[in-house]
Amino acid sequence: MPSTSSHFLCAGTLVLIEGLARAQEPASARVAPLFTELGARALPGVETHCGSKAKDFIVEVNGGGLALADFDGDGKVDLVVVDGSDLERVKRGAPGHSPRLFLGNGDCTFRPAGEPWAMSGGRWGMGCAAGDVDGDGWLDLVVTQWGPTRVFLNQKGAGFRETGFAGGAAATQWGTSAALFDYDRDGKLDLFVVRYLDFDPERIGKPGSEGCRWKGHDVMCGPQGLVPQFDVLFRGQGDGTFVDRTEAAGLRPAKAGFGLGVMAFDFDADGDTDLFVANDSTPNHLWENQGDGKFVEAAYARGVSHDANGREQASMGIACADTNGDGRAELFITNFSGEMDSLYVSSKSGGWRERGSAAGLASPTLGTLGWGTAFADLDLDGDLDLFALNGHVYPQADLPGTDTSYAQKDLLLRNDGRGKYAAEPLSAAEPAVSRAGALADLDGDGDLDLVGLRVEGQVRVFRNEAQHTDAQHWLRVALRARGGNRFGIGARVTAEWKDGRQVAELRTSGGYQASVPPEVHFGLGGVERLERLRIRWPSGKEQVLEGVAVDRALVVEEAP
Amino acid sequence: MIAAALLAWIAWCAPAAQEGRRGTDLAPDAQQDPERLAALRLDPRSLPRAPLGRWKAFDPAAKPDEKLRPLWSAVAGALRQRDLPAALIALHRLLGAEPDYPPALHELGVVYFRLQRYGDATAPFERYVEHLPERIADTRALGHAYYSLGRYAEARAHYERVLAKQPDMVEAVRGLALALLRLGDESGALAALERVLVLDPAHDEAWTWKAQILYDREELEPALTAARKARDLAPDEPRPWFLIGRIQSDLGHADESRAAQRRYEELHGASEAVRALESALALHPHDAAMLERLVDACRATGSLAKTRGALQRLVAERPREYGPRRKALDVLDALGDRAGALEAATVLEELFPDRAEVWERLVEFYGRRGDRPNQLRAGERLLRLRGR
Repeated sequence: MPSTSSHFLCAGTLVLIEGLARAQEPASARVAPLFTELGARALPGVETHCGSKAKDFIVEVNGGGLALADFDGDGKVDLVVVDGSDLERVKRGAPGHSPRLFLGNGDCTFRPAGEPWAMSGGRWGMGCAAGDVDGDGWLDLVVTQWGPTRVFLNQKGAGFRETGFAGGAAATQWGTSAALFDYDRDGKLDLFVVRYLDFDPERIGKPGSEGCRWKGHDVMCGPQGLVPQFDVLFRGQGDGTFVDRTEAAGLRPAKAGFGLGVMAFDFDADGDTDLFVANDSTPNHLWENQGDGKFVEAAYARGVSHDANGREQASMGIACADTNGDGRAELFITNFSGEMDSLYVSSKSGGWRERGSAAGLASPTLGTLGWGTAFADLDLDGDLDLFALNGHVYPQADLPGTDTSYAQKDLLLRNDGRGKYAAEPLSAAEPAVSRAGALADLDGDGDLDLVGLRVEGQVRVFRNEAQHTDAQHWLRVALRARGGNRFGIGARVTAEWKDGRQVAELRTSGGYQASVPPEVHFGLGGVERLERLRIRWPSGKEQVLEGVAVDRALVVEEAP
Repeated sequence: MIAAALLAWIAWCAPAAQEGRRGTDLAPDAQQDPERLAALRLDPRSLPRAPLGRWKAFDPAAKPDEKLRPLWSAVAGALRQRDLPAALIALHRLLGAEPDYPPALHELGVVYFRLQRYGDATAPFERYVEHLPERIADTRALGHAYYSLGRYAEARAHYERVLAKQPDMVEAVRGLALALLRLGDESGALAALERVLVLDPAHDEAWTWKAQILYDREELEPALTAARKARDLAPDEPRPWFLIGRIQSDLGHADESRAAQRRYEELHGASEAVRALESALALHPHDAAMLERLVDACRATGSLAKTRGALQRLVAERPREYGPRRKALDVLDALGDRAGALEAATVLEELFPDRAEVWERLVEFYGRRGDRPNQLRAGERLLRLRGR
């Protein structure tokens, strides 16, 4: 990634790539929603596809995926849209719609990337993950499908080249979300693919058959009654190839779940990366990394397998961040309509408690069916907010008596600074059938913008309209680690100031079929300067930068 | 109370209701017919309204007007059959003929609530309260509907109004506790649960919720005590086991936690199966195959009461068929319900005196009970039927 200037501080090398004057907007009372949907201005004519409008089969309801990252190294965030297909194409053996890269213009708009970046259509695209899987310093791309997982290697910013994925049979089934992370800390990125279910349209009944009903209406069958698939772990070889290590790593639970979302994070702060998997209608999984190449499933004991009533939820998306400053991450999980979204707050015992009601999240989320979500300081006031993209799976949700609707409002859940969230519309846009979403600073102004997919149709870009007053400071930090994990995935970054601190982990896994840029973002409120920035690198080394100015994007090199 | 009045009406309607499924508006094998599906598309908000004051002098003890009796009879018949779609059709007809007739409004709210159509349930309940504000205590279920819609502030307000009229209504206090909990007022919720337990010390659900709140507050020992109390009161309910497992895990008691988790998973799997079947049966109450599966699912929970209830539904659906009657005997016998099994055996004898397989089973049944005379009698009958 090229830099525009450089600046040295006392420990380590810090590269200042952008220094931004605060936006000159008046600090008038905010009445409009925080985000503005830019419509077709941002991505002219870019639509996704996901089967028939009738949604007669479950493969048609989850939507596609997206990745936000700088693939061409120009300092601006680019966008990969993973598109789906339809059953007619599948039956004909015709490829699905191609994944596409759009290059960022740095102003929340994008343009087609051109032929060198073209990716052929696969079977039926689902999600994706970005990371440097061949250790060349450029971000590569993994695409999951109802079909074989695909890997596209970045040709040093000049295009993508697809590799044959050597993951074996386990790589060929329905993958949803994926995470690139370094579970064995060998400096090579590994891949975890969440899988959903065994789907064969010839063997699955039509809506209304075999008890496929919801609130008295005939709906598509599944996931209940279908066979869930086990998730898979692939160990990276450092050259863009992978070897299946699922069983060797102990990642085979007693029962498979209908996996949809994944988050790679170090929940117990022991220096290795653990995994949380959001499962649909089956208990969630928490894979605790033992540090010896093996994982132990601990969701029940840690309090994140079920809701507080002991019921499995239809979990979809995952937000993950340390919202209360105790050094351990909270988890926010989006769920089905009629189930409130879950907020798992870290407990003294090393697990979590579901505290959605106490945080004011019960009422605004009970009627929604949520997907893409993330914690971030969206209004830059110094605490972590949430967004939740919503939309039902059943078009029949618009029929009488469902107490919900197919298209739904996307939500901004604004943190009041004391851990309570107030719901407001994310934007003034009409309700939509939303799916995956990802945050990134698309226009370089320091606040986080959002790209959201619908189950099908126009891809949506939401510009963050944060005011950037004197009480809305920020800092973005990207890392350049030594070794193959060049972007420092798994690093822990702590921002410290006179009377406070924030901790963030660097990752690209975006919760639900999404990937976010490999950097951390701090909303700092009125904090005008950090006393120090502390980095725990994936190598285990710690590096401290003293006296860090804010309102800028930094790239920090790992000290030798 | 409206519930008492309703029972009186149903009793009054009993002869018609006992005609069986033909007492409802739907033929027994018409579970997929357009009329049944159309019932689910009826909108309670579109029902005609009566002017306020129309029902001011309503007397819940009075019998319905002559013109309403056939319509009410259809309602009662459908309810006796647990045929909720048929009940919806009958109630909409009745309320079309007599707008905002209070017992029908109330029952319509209950039926929609049982169908988990909570938004639809609020409409008739709210009309009921508009017409008979002094009878608000009849509408505790309106609070439940608000709660189920996530309208927790309205739920709290409604429960408070109900309790102002009837302070000792246990389920309204429980509802208030849960609404407060969802609104983030844990202390208020805990106080309300304590009130429930004063009114009904054996309220297992209140003990469970109390344990939950204490667990959330990381008060582990008191939480464990409350969860154990809930488990002792309702050993077949999964949730107390779930909580005990969690609490034991936090206490570092890994073996106890795993044991509780195993028991929870057994019970949870069974109770989820029951829940799914109950939900399907709400729309298809005459599906005998589903009722048989309900019996099996209830049996798997280990709850004799639930199993008996499911068996009653099954034999009521097919009262003269061998299969359900034989299942009743086999299941109750296996569960160790001596009285229930004996009753089932007697009915089997009476209904199917000429089936050898009945007497073969009864020989074995009476033999295991040590009932020598009946064993011999059954054996002789079996030999005669086999021509020996």
